[in-house]
Amino acid sequence: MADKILSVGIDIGTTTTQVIFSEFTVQNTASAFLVPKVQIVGKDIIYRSEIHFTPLVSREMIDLTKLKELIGKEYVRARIHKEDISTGAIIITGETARKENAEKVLNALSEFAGDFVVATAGADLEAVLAGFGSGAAAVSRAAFRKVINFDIGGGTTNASVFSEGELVDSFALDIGGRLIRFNKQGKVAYISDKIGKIIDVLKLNLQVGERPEFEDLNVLCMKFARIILKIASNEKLTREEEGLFIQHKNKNLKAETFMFSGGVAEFIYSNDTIATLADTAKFGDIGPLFGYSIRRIFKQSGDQLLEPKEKIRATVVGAGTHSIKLSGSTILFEEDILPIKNIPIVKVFNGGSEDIDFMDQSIREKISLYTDEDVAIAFRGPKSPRYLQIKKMAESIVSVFEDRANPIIIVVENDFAKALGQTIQDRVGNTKKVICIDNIKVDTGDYIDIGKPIENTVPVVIKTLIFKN
Amino acid sequence: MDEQWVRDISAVDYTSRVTVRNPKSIEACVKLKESTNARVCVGRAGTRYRTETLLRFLADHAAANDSVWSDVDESLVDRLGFFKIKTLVRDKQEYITRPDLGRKFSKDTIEEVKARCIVNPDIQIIAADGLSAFAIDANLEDTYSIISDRVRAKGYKMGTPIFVKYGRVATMDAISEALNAKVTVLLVGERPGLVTNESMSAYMAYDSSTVKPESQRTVISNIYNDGTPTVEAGAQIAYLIELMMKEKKSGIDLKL
Repeated sequence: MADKILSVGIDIGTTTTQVIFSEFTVQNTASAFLVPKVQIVGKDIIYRSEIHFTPLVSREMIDLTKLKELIGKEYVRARIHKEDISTGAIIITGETARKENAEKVLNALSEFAGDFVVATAGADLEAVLAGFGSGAAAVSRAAFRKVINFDIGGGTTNASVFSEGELVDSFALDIGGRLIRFNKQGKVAYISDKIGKIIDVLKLNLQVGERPEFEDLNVLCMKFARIILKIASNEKLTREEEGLFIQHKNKNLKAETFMFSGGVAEFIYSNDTIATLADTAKFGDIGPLFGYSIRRIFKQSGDQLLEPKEKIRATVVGAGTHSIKLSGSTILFEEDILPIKNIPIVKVFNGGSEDIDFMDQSIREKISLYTDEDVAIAFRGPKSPRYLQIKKMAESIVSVFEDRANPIIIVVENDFAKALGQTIQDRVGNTKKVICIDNIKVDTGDYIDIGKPIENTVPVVIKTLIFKN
Repeated sequence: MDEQWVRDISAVDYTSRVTVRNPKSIEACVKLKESTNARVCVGRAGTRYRTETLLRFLADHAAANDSVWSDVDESLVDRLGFFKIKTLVRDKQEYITRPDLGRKFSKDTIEEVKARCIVNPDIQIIAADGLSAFAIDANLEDTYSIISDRVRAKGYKMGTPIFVKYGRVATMDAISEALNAKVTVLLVGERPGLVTNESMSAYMAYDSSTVKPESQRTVISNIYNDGTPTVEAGAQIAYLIELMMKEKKSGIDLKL
């Protein structure tokens, strides 16, 4: 007995916009004598779009009309109706996420692309999705090795580190193939402000409107490549190199296997030699030379590069196939209030030990920030709790919600959501809606979407960052 | 040895203990151990187990034996208000050698059940020692409590809970027929293995009957701390009870 669900992935990047459709097979994998364990057992990509340039009105504005038209055409070409889509993600990535109308674009497309599609953004999430799409996560699990994946796009490099299939670090850098662009005459048309400092330090003669020297571009690209190598092999960075990290630095984990995805990766794994300005500028940016530089630097260092499953499409494949998780299979929900979207997580207990005796106090403190908003209460909870503990947790939660009109939404890590959910439900009766799910790990600051049930589980999307109003 | 007592070697948690010498990757071994209860990453001496592994194997085997030959703590079933009865079996030895007697009651026992227990209940809960007394000691209280709280909250009529000594699964059919129960749930100690001796199963049937085939029953097995958590299993059983009451069927007829 298997259910099929259709998922869409749309990636609007600095340079390119892509769409993929994939079909998930969902099945109970437990034997008939065990409690059910519903899992995604298969993911097949059934349609890959062309790689389009992201339409822009100006440097600061995305062209929403053109973008809608472009995506709409892909739906038609794939013969897929948006009503058939049951999950997926639209992500806006790289420098595009920092455009003025990025949030508006996401909201507009979210409506456009089906009922339970999430709009999301954020450099870290992008890195994670690329790491799943490139196959880095799978390799780390199969080979028991720490794998780092650098997804190098037009505006940013998004890196993720996986160990045994689990994400252990993710970070982003202002390094990309399109930070310098050329016009048709081979003159510099654009230099990103983000790399001005590095250009000064290297004393390079690169100016908008001027024809650059190949050697200056080469020095810059080799510099970028060396920074990537230093990060990959966990060497110390200089201060101006560290300035390229977006939002936060890496955790300095040493990876054993290196992988590259993104548009620039196409030139890392090819055999083309880029030796002249003409070779460099064939796509109007430094991408080819940057890719060639990485190939040379890693060849010199003697490090083997593993070829990814997906290069330029890694992020969109990740978005279409890995943004969703299924909850545990013994949970409690009231279907009529699903799907719910963008629910802020209130994480009870700040790490450390979770003392159930102080639970109501802890929830009250955290929840006071959200006066009449829907929130999801999250904690790890004991492994195999006793019924007394379940009753205590239920009573704490019910007491906090006595003077709130909102539904009770609980997200726990360990397997006891049905027990807790029923116990809460029996105490509140019909006065409140209750949703209690398990096998989901979240953190403070996350937002959660919970979709309509599939075989008694619910699809869940955790978003680490959405646009703040 | 200074200590007066020999250490209990079965008290060591082996689920994450890697005893292979000089592993190439200890993390990989730990991951492998997390993924299975099998005795992997234990190393070897020539073609055989190392002494530590063998001793643990024997200890686990002994623990399994103990659970078969022990009796359920009667103070527990008394405290939970279970009505206690016995099958035709006279002792553990006979219980093991005569499965047929472990499924039957004397006429007197059936008459006593009819006289002293609630008749025509919606839900009849039964516990039986089965092949592991320890499974009942460890899981009965939480599983029974969460089921009965939920079922009562839903407004169903609960029968008098019954404990069957020397009981096998089919005793639920005889009791169900005697009391004319709608849904009957039997919580029974599973045949112990080398991983745990505390695993319990729940057998459930709508209109449970001695003339119906085994396929009338819906089963949840593997209920113990490291398997399906006790309370979560109880919650799932309560959910299935509601479903059976609504659909008026169980076993392979019940689509989950």
